[in-house]
Order: sequence, then C-alpha cells, then structure tokens
Amino acid sequence: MIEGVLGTFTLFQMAFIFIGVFSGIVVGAIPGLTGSMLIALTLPITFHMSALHATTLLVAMYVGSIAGGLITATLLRMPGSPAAVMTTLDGYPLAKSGQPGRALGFGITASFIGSLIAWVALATISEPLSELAVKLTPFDYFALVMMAMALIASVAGGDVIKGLVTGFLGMLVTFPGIDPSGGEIRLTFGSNDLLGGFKLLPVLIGVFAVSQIFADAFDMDARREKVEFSSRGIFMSVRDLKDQAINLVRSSLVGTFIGILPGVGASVGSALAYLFARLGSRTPEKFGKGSEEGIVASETANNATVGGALIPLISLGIPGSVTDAILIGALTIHSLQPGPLLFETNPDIVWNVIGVYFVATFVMFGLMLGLIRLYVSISVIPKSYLLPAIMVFCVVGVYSLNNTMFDVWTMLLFGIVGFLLERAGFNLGPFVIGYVLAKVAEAKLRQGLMFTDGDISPLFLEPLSAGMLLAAFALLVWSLWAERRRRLSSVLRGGGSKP
Amino acid sequence: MKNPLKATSVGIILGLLASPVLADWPEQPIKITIPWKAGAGAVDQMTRQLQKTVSDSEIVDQPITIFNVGGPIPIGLRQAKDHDPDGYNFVVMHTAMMTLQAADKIDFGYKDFEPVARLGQFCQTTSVHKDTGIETLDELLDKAAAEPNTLVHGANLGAINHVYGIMVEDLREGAKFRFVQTGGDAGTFPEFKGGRVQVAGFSAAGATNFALGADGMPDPESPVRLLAYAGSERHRNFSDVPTFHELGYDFQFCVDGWYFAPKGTPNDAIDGFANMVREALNDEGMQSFLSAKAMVGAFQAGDELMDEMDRQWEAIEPIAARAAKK
Repeated sequence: MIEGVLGTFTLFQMAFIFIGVFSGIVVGAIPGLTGSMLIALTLPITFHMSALHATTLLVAMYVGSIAGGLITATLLRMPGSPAAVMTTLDGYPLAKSGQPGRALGFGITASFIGSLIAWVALATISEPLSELAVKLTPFDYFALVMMAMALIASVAGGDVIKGLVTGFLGMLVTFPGIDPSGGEIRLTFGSNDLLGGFKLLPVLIGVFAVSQIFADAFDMDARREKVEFSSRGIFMSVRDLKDQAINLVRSSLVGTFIGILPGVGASVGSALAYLFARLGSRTPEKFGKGSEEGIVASETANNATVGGALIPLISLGIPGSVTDAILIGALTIHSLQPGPLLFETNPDIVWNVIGVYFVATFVMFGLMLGLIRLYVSISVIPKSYLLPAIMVFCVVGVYSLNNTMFDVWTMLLFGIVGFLLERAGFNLGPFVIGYVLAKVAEAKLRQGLMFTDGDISPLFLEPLSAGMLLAAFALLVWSLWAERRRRLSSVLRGGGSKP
Repeated sequence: MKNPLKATSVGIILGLLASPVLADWPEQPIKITIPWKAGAGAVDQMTRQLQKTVSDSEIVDQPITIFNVGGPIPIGLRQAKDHDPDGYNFVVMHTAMMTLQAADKIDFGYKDFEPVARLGQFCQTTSVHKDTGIETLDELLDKAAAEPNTLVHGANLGAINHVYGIMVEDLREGAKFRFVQTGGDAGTFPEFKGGRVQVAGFSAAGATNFALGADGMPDPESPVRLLAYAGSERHRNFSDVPTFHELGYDFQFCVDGWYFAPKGTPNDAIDGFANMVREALNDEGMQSFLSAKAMVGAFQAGDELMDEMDRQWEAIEPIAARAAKK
C-alpha cells in the first residue's frame, strides 16, 4: 500500500497530477464543459501512455473538475458543472454581499475536507462499504430519495406552494423519453430526438447558467456592483472550522455514501447534504441567502462523491458515476479488467488510483487557493465580454456531450424556463432537487416492484426502507411546521415594527 | 502534331472524368458513427481499436474519425441512415438493431442499410447465483418450469440480454424467469451480488470478470456459477463450461459487431471498407484487444454477411417482439 502511494511522488507522476488537476479545475469552472467530457476527450491521448500514467491523469482530472465547478457557481451564479448547482444557491449571495473571498474560501476548504474524508473511506474500508452498498434493495434507495424529496418544500425560500410547483415541474421534466425501467417510449410526441429525454447537463446548464446570462443581459445597463476583493476569510479560521465541524463530517459521509451508490451521482449527493445541513442548522433561514453552511455542505459532499464513486469501481468494477464509466473504459483499453479481481491482478494500479486521489486533493487545494485572486478578477471583466464567451462555451459543451443539436435547443429552452420562473418569483432550488431525484426514485421504485412481482408491502415492512420512509414523513411535517412558524414570527415581527 | 496532342489530352481528361470517383478509395477521411456514448461497451472500443490499428499499420492512408451520438441508439442510428452515401459515412451497430426493430423502437432495420462487414463477436453465458444450489443448466430449466416466474433474471428489458434470457427459457416447455430491469453486465452484477438476482446472461467478458479468480480458475468467493456458454465452441477463458450444443440444445447466441453504410453507397467503398476490416483483423494489436474483451474475430462480408443477418433476424424478431410486450 505504502509503496503504491509513494509511487505517485515521482516527478513524472506529479507532473501528470498537476496537469490533470489544473485542466480539471479550468474545465470544471466553465459552464457547459464538464469533467466527464474532459476525461472522454483525453482518453484517446492516454492510449499512448502506460496504464499507470493514464489512470493518474484521468483521476487527477476528475478531482479537479468537481472542485472547479464552485468558482463560477460562486462568482457568477452559473454552476461550472452540474455537481455545483447547490453551491450557487448560497455561494453567489455571499459573494455578492461583498465577501467573494470568504465564499470561495469556504467552498475550497470544504472541497478539500470532503475529498480527504472520502479518501480515508476509499483507502481503508472500500471493500466492506461496497459489500454494504450492494445489500441495499431498490426500495431502500427509493425511501432514501424520498427523505430528500420531503425537504423540497423547505428550500422554497419561504413559499411552500411555489416550492412544490417548481419541484413538481422539475420532476415532470424527467418523464419524456425512453422510460428507465421498461424501456417504453413515452411522451415524445413522435419526436426521435426526444427519445433520450431532457438530459441532465443541458437542463441544469440551461436553468442556471443560460437563464443567468439572459437575466444579466437584461441588466446590462445597470451599474455594476463593484465587488471589492479582500483576502479576508479565504482561509477558514479555527472557529469557522469548529462551527462547521459537524456539517463537514456529515456532508462528507453523505457524499461518500451517495458516491458509492451506482447511478445516483454528485448532484444528488450535494442536494442531500445541503438539505441535511439546513435541517441541522441553527439558522436555516439563511439558506439560499448566502449561508456558509450551505456552501460547505454542497462542496464537501460533491467532492466526497468522487472518492465514494471510486470505491465500487476498484472493489467491484461497478461504475459509481458517469465519469467512472469512462475510467472503466480507459482501464479496459489498457487491458486491465476492473472488477473484484483488480486488487489481486493489478494492485499497483489500485494503489496508484488511491494514492493519486490523495495527492490530487492537496494539489487541488493549493491550486484553488493560489489562484483565488485570478478567479475573482473574472467578476471584474465587463459582462458584455464575459457573457458571450460563456454562452459559446455552454453551446459547444452541451453540443459535444452527445453531438446532437437537440441538447442545445433543450439548454436554450430551459434557459428561458429558468429565467421566467425566477422573474415570477419562483425559487429554482426545488426544481433541481425534483429533477435530479425523480428519475432515481422512479427507476428504483419500479425496479423494486419488478423484484417483488408487483408487491409493494416490503417497502413499508422492511425495517430499513420503512424507517427511512417514516423519517421522510417526519421531515416533511417538521419542515412545513418550521416554515410556518418562521413565517408567523416574521409577520409578527413585521407587525411589531410598525409605528 | 497539334491536333493529335489535343485529342490525346482531351481523351485523357475524358478518361479521368469517366473513371469511377472512388477508384482509389479512400481519398478523404472515413467517418464512423457510433450511435451511443463514447467509451461505452465493447463495440465502441472495438471501433476505436480499428481506428488505431488502421492508422498504426497504415492499412489505408486516410484517417478514421469517430463520431459518437449519445442518448438512446435510435437517435444516432437514424442520423447515420440518413447520411450522404458518399462512400465515407459508416456506422457501427450490433445485434440490438434487430431487437429495436422488432420492438417497434425504430421503423427501419438492417435492410435499410448497406451491410459492409462483421469484425468480431462476443457470446453470452447463462449463470446462476450459487445460493440457489443449482449446478447445471438442466436443473435451472427444470426449476424454472416447476416454479415459473420465481427465479429472478436480471436484464435490460427489451434489449439483447432480455431476448437472450427468453430464448433460454424457451429451451424448456413451461420454463419462465421473472425478468427485472437491472441493465447490462455492470448493472446486473451488484444485484446479483446482493442476492436479489438469481439468473443472469452475462457476456463472456462479464462472466470472466465476475466468475473467475486472478488465476483464471473459478473464484470460490464469487456468487456467480457459470452453467453454459452460447458460443459454437467452448470459450478459452472458462474451458470447463459446456456449450449449449454439448448439453443437447441447438442454441447459439452471439452479439455481432457490424459495420453498415447508408443505402446507395458505392460498391468500391463498401468493398474497400470490408477489406480494411479484414486486414485489421490480422493485426496483433487487434487480436490482443479482442482477446482482452473475451471477443473473437469473425470476419464476414457480402452475401455471406447478409445471409447471416437474415438468419439472426428470423430467430430474434418474434422473441424481441415478445420481450417488448412483457
């Protein structure tokens, strides 16, 4: 093990890690371009490298790209990658309130710690963890997702009804296309392009980045708020760390665990951690308005999913994420068969992946902090130059995902949808949560029903799923009640301040 | 002197114009569409290996460019069908083309293309979970007939491994598996390991990965027990596993990697591409790739290829239509 980890410290390997993390951060920060795209495009280049160097480069890119997403999410309210969507909800308001350094600093440290805690899990208990993950039944998954769904109303920013409307709208968007369980075609209205449905990247980039471009374009004449850069707050103080300790650990664990589950993904991980953080917060009303806890939860969890997703990859050969699926492709091209045997047949590769993930986490932390001034200068570039450039990246990125124009139209359509929803006073948080969770919920529920031949009773009778469903119900009631109380008290306070 | 010279040059020019455009195929880069996401599946990787082999061994002097169209297969496949038949547009596809057509997911099929060549194939296996106590294919089929709809078979519903599972249950009167959506090999194995799936039709590569130990022998800790292999002869990776033929069933099921061109593509281009594939198969890099993916090189072109497709269509069409209705 130690040999494998130490092996990453050669000059050549370090150069690959550095290049990988740096290019990952850059691509991750650009809305529309994602880490999986970078890795897919780099794949052919790695054909000419040794398997060891290839995995080094690709894993480093993976680490960098997830972390990079927070930069534009925080400074421009445009998530650089879908995993950073939840970060926009609080990162941008905090940055806008004159503390961009603090907003980025919190996100960066959170990314670092999330990544590190997931690494510990990867290096020490990856085998028992993946054994545990395969024990979960589809009904357990479904109940887990329901827990997160129950919290949709609470991220609505005060208006429960509006929150539910946008949440349901998000769910509705997942319906068209080939259904994930039976393979039936539904709601495509005869359109061949719609067979694939509205895909994650075009929808999320549309709703967040493109709608923001539209909104900014409308406000182009408005005086730019000058964001003063202060290095104050870039580093989390000991006190900050102490305040966030529980949040950091909880979000890391949530992220790691969600990462392990195949087909769930970083966006769900950060959404779930965010919801839990809000639930455990003493100041839940700050969420969505620049809460440091919100940034920490989202960034800790989405980075932890990288380590989490590598766990089933190396112990079972099952991809924990889309990026992992490409990594598996890379390994097989180098004649390595990822699977339960990889540990025995190619221990050097496995320990190299673990070692690289560890080193890349530190490189990511250093690069992100070191370049912070550069990032902040992005927000000083006049929007008339910045917006068209970002728009070009969005279009190119989304097109190259599947090489279809339909995805570009999807992105533009959802740009308009997001723009209009916001203008009408709807919060976009519930939309994302509804959208990312509905697909998993449907697929798992229907899969569970196929296993039991249509019998739904195990969902309510098995202790784990029943417990989680009960918790979901309790969360729903509690969040509605807490919202109501908060609203009442603000009405009372508002009334009290009147002369 | 003047006139004959003129006549000769006119003759030469006319000759050039009259000669087939594709006399020296290829004169420009060859584009191969892969109608799904980059890097996914053996047939995508096979095409990337073809690209590499052709360029490394200088089989033709033009590069191959690969164009992945993501999303469900029908989207990219339809695009490829409608491409200009200029001799430089090709598409790679496998047996799923037939299951899609039979299930009415596409309103066209292999007959709406020019079949060009088959490069290689991989065959399916039938496995059970060791906890079932089942040790032979006959025991499995007996149980599926005695207690129909109880043994859970993981599959990607409506797709190849589902059609394969139905064909296996059809080997015994009254045998029925309960098919559950688990996806391909990678999606089915976690469910298998978790004990929720008892029967699976892994590809040869999946079976190698999930059932064998590092020494190439059956792994005692694996939950997978291989019962039968659907190739024409035993697979070298698990040579103790009998074929269906050996067990007395006239049954074979392999997934073919086919190259097609849009209808109307000139014959020179079709022959040129087929020759390129045939030559690539002699290459060592291609051979070691196929072996790493538990695939076998199985070149076919021309009438032989068309006959084989007709044979497969006859076998698959009724079953795939049934799979779609389940």
